[in-house]
Amino acid sequence: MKNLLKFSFLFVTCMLVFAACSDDDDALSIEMKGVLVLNEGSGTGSISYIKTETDSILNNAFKQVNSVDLGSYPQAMALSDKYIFITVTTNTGAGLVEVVDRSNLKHVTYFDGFSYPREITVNGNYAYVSNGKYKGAIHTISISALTMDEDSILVGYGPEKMIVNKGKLFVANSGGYGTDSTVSVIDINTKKVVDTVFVKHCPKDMVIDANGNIWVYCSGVPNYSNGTFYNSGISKISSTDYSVKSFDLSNPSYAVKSIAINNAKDQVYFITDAVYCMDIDATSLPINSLIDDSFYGIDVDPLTDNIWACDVKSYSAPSDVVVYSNTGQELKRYTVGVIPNSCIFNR
Amino acid sequence: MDTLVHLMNVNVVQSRTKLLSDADKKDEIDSFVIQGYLNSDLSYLLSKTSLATISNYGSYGALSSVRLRGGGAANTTVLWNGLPINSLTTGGADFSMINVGAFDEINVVYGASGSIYGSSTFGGAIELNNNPVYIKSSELSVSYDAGSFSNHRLRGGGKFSNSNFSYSGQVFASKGVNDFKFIDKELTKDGVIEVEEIMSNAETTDFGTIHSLFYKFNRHSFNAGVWYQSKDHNIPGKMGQGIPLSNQNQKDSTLKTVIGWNCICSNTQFNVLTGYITDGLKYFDGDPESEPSKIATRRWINQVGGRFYLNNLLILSAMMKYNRLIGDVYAYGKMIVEEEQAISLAAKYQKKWLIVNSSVEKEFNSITNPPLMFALSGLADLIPQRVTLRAKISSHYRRPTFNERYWQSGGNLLLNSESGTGWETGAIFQNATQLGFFTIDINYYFSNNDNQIQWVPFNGLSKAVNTGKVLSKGIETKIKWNYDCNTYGFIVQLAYAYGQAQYNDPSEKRYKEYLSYQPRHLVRFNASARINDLLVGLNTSFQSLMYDNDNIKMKEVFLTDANCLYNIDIENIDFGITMRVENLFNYSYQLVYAYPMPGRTYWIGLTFKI
Repeated sequence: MKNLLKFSFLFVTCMLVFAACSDDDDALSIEMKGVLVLNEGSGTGSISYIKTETDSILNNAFKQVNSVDLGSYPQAMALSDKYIFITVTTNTGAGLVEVVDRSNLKHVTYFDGFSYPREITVNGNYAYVSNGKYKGAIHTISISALTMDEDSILVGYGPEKMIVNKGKLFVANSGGYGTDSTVSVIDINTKKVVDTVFVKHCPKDMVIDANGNIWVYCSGVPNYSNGTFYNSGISKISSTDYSVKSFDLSNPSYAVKSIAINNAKDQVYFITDAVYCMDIDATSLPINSLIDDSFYGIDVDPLTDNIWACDVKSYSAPSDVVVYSNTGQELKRYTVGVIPNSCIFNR
Repeated sequence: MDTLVHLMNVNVVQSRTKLLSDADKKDEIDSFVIQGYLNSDLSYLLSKTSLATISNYGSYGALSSVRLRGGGAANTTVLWNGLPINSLTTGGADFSMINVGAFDEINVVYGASGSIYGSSTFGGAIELNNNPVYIKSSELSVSYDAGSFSNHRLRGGGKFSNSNFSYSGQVFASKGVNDFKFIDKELTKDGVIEVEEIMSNAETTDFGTIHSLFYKFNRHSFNAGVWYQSKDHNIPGKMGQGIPLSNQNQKDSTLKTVIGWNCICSNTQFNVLTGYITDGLKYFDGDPESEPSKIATRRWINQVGGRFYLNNLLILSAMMKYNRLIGDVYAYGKMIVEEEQAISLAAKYQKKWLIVNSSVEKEFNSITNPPLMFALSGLADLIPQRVTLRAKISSHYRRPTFNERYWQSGGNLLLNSESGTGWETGAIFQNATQLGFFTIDINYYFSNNDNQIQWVPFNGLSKAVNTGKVLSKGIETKIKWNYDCNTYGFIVQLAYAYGQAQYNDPSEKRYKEYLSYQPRHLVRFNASARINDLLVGLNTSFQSLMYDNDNIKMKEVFLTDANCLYNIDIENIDFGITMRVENLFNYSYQLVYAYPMPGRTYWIGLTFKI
């Protein structure tokens, strides 16, 4: 019996040593249905995969699958039927769009040549990429052919979030390294800018409500010397005549992902010093907060209507993604990568 | 600050820092070793010879910083002839702009005391000194090194001195393309492939000149120094998908001047030191639509001190400082002017077998209020010439940098200085035999930073705040053998450090986690031999794995250099030929994640000395 115990101990020890010495670079191949969190990183970005059924987390999922890093400062993800598109901004002018298999995050291809790719949105067979620190442009990728149009569509300065509504692509021109206060309207068939809508300053993020109106989060122009923001607010663009109604914000968030909408598209969530919930028919901003904390980004789970909030407190430590009910009750907390900025729901 | 110690008929000026730090753990870089790296930058030399961790953004000439004992780049203070030269804006120093051959003396003081060396000494201090030689001599020298990847380094210098006057001056310039090859990983449909890529946009042009003048008569001595340095460096892209693309460029320039006066009256010594430092930086991100960002800072540094030799055993010292600090940075929104004063008191007790140094310093800054600093250190010969014990307790601080206070957005005027206390103890075993001189040095240190400053996310922007505590502790050992006679000389040295630098605030999420870019193990091995006019050396360094800011594991670094120097004397002209192979085994490594470093690099150099 003693010998057996000794042998068992030896065997287990050998197995542990073997496991410890095994090659960490072996690529992982698993189905990734769940929530994917994009982490900008301190120098190298990553993706965290959360399997909500089991509450299990796989951090650094892209690297575990593909054995290489995702790249510096990834900004946005978008889902198509087969693929996930990820914009990787970098800080050297070597930006790219990484395309991975939606089911398992395996690399499919990538598009380079971007100077400063920021956001990506998918509509039908096309993915649209906003690019540029200064005068910006929208690049079009054919999803079926996985090719990118040679020609781009010039828009305003520092284009960020895009949204498609009634055959038009709306582009929030944030100003980038300068200032801007416009939303470009592009006809997706002719690929021409057909209108330019003036909103509050530095529009960055947008959602579309049940009436087809577009809500634009504008962080304003900061005056760092006194901590105020000039002309910040939320602008609502009418779906019919592009008229604008704006609500002033005195303490906006400078996060890029600052606005979200519930699945019924009748409640808008936005971030300032806290998270607020606003009825789409309200005539003034809410006074009471829904969640008494500020975040780097928020998204709404299309299945549960829960709010997923990126709680970034450090530039060099793993952060949390916190799940709240639509009434603002904290439900769960997951520790993901460094500087998470958004979630997509890959089910 | 300075005193005169009479050694026969030669007067040697001993600075205040030297007077009060002789019980500290210190590496004085051997001239044997320095000879092999005269035209290199200081970070490279320190990576071979000291227990420092080096960060380098790939290639020669790229931004290099030095970290000691778990501290950050801003926690190592650098002094040139007594002047602190760390950047006002970032707190760090770019060691790629410090040429090894520009100085007569290079010291690494581990865990230097805040009351002696001032701000930013959690890790330690690095002293760069130009010293006078009051003997009649003259020397002119020119050297040229050519290296792989189109690197060229040129240095010319002159030294002239007599019994009252000593001058040394140098001009150095370098240029490099740095188009070395490295292995990158590329994703394809079929998986990962390794591809050989060529570093691009890493060209560097560097120019510097340094001059030191010393003059003494009767009881007075004067010194003056000027150091100008400029660098034009393209910043390469990072490894990853596609070719590492970058069009970034940075131009740095600095002018440092210093003037000093010393006077001895009976058993009292007075001194005055004043310095002016101006630093400029212009960064361009490569986007045709971008405007370069510019940073300019200026500093007046003034010190007045006195020393009183009470008797043969006790020296009392006092010093006052007045500094005027000016930052002209677009991101600050306005010109920033700060003033700071400090008063220091110190006492040194010295017997044949015992040295005890004690000091206090209080700094007054027009914006922040640094804490009172103190230090108490001792060195005792337990067995004379054989066993010496060393102990020290001292406090440290780092006043917030200009960026941390004024950068828009996120600069925070309410920041407190980083502050903490450290202690260390060690023993030195020595033995002089016919086979040479053996030394074993063992040291244990423990250091707290109770008020670390960090940039944290704040409403989508950044803000500098005082965060939690950091603890650094470890051991440092060094075994050294040297033997010297007329025709032969040998130095063999093995140094090892084990260090733990951890977050130490129980309320922090990262409590007990290790800090990024802090390897646990460092090993340095240097062997140099002089055989008549031939000097050969082998330097090997090892750094254990560490983690970057994204918690990515970076593999170990194992590097070996071999060098030789042969001198020929023809009609009073010394000709020297140097050959050096850096990274002999062509090891692929990174010191900052995703910035590849050069592989095997060959250097050949010629020196003419009259």
